[in-house]
Amino acid sequence: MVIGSKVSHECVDGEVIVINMDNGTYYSIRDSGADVWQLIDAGWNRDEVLALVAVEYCDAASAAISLFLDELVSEGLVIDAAASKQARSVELPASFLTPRLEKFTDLQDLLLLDPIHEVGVAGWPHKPA
Amino acid sequence: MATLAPSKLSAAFAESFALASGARIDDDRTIAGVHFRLSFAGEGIRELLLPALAGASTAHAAPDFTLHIWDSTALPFSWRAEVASGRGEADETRTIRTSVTDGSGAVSVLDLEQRRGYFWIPDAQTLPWYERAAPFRTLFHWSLSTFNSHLMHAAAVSTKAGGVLLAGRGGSGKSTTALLCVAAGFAYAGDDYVAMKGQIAHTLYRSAKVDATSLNMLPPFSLAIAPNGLEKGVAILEDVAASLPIVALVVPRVTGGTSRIARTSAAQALRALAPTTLFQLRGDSASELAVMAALARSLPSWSLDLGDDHAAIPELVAHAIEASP
Repeated sequence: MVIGSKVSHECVDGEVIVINMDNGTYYSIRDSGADVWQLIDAGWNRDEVLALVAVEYCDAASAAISLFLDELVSEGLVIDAAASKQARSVELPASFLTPRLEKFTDLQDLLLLDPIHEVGVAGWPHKPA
Repeated sequence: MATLAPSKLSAAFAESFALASGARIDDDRTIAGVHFRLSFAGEGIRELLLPALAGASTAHAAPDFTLHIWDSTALPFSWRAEVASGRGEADETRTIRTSVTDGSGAVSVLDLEQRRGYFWIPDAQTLPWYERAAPFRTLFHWSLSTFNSHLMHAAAVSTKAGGVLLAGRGGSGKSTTALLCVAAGFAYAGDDYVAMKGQIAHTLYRSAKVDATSLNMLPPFSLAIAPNGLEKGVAILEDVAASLPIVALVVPRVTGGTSRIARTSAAQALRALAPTTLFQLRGDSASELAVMAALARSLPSWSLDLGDDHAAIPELVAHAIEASP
């Protein structure tokens, strides 16, 4: 799994702030979701993540993470492709906490209204058609 | 129109500026320790854009960046999206940055190798208020970041004990809080954008968004754009700080009722500060986010509920400053 090229992210106090620069959406990922995000960032692929979670916690945790990974993919934050880098080791905390993905769209309209836009092939300055 | 390769872009803008600038007027400004020469093509555009700028007005022999500023009805060239994205990303040579602002039609181009910037608008007389309140912010954003100063979408005010960065999207109450604090005697470093270098907020603009009520409580100012009904105006404050030491992050939100302030998480402060900054000021998002995350980790964060009791708000901010180690 690979984090999208237009996605910026930082972990602060165990919470990952994820920003999709393409569409003005941002996210907060907490609990075991934050740990799994670190695994993805460290180059772990889907099967490796699920296997590790199953070993460290339980099958139910692995199932919850599988759903969480699906959500990350459907939100366009992560691409379900083979990781391109050598995975680094990441230590998981002792207890599993159901991953939480909170989505914020309050800045989307700001981005739409925001006057910055792509330069089109017609040249500039032109409003997008 | 011919399409230009990025390597030719800077020269094409320079040529266009030279053609437009009959009476060129230079102003030197030092902002966040970086020397800018602002080269205006005429007094008309200068008097619209210069008043909002802060920074020491000192001449320097060798400016770090020269910004060329002009308006003309059209530019005699074009370039394609594949060559230079309008999202403020660097071209493949990583030396030219470009951005187009749809509302005003403003084009910002920065040539990092030549240390020259270009700010072109179709018509200075129809410039929207946000360009007049915070001119050249995109060029400042790109150029200052090469000196480790980072533009953030935030207000900054301080007491003698230290300053706060007020973080939040438009409408969150940054401006209101900042102006209430200024009216209570706080120092001011901006209500919308500041340049952070470490934990120091450097003032970029002496402008403040005002409504009819806030006009009555401000210290000396001149009015660039008068408020009109629900539309805010732009005031230019006479006294602004050059820089303020920031001791805390404050996240305001308009709640009504009774105002209150309480500690919050660094993550909440980062959520208030980073997305709105990154969406407005395009550039190297990952490294800018890392800078903001480092700031949020290093300073205490507070959540400020803005109630109807406006008089209480400066005291609450002062309390946060006193209680921040």
